[in-house]
Amino acid sequence: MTESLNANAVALKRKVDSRFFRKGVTVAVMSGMAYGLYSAFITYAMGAGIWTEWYGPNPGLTVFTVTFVIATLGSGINDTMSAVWAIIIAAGKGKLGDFLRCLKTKPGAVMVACAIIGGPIASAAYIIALQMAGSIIIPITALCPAIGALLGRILFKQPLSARMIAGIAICLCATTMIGSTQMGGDAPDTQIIGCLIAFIAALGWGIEGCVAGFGTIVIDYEIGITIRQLTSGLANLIIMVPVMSLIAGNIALSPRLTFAALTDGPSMLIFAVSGFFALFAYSLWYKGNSMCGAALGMACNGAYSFWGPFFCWLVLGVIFGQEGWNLAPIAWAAAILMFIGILLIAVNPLKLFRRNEGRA
Amino acid sequence: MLPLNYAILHCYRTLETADADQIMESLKADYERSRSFRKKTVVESLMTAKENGILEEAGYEADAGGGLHVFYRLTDYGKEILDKYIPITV
Repeated sequence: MTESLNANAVALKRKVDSRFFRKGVTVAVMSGMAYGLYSAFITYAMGAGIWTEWYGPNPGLTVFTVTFVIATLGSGINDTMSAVWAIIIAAGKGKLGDFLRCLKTKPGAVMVACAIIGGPIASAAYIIALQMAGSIIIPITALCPAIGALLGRILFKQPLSARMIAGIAICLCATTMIGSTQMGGDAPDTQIIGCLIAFIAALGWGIEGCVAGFGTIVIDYEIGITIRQLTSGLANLIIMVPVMSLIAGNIALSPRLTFAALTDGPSMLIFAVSGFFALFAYSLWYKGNSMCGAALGMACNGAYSFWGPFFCWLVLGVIFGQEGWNLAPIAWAAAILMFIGILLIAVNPLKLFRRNEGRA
Repeated sequence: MLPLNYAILHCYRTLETADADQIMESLKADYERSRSFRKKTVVESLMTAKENGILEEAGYEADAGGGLHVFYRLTDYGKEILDKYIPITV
């Protein structure tokens, strides 16, 4: 096919490319914002209705059950509600047939594997960490792009430049800054464990970001997210909650707690909201990565290190009047520093600058 | 029937180069009843595949109506991915 050299075609092409690039960046940034809103609303949901009793002073449950079974249940309900939204949207756009067809293919199986790593494992770890240590763990989980870069080097022999190593060092410095203010002598023991568990979430999402990036090259992102949330929600509720209950020493806890949570109107309404935002947090992450490349996509998404604490403060602190959601100034500064580190890992600032110049 | 996104990519096994309109024409018989079979979807799918190295641009031209036609072809990497993960027999 011959390339037209007329000025009109060149101008149109530049406009289309620029629009696509801007859309990709916007989508990736919005995924981080949706993640912040999802974090705020799931925390609110797990403090409403029956959850108030479970997380109250006399829950009638062991500490292990409250920490692990209840937290996994919260993650499972959130992802299942998110899957319901995903199915409604996929049906509305006529993609349900493709969803079933994709499930039978290799990329579909890759998405299922990602859902298990990023869902039952990482999301449950995230919720457990959030419950144990509060929103301070959000910047820690934002290390996932750094972990993704390291895994890419180890698993796929991807380059790991001095710039990327510098970015990882900045992220680790930021984590240490947060730790220095939040883990003092008066910090509860659960906060330190919570921060460690948050690393499991970061590891899981680092793997998910690497592998699901491949899946969304060929699978429509809305189909990809339907597979992800449905697998994750059901695996949490059907496998993880019973397994955790068994470890807690009472398998009968699983159906009892699940039924009680699912029939609790006030909290389920809020889970519907958190599930809605979780849907966009993940689907826009996948879409952003596939539209503007995983590196830039993950860097923009990594801004949730800021949006998480921000929306927890805005939604829970300002709107719902809960206390304790203010972060120390150094923690805010660390969140911003971590974002800069993540950006440095993912994107060469000089290259990005030149790219923008080229598009101007 | 293949998922739409797979089918779009598979078109490049038989068409050396094609733009979104040619892809839509080629898939019309099987997918025209699907609500997701829209030019916007096809264009975005092609641009995403190009961004990820599956397709590469083979040229572009403007038509008399002010529309832009970007032509793509399958890369070696793209062929490898299709062969390995979404063979035509899925």
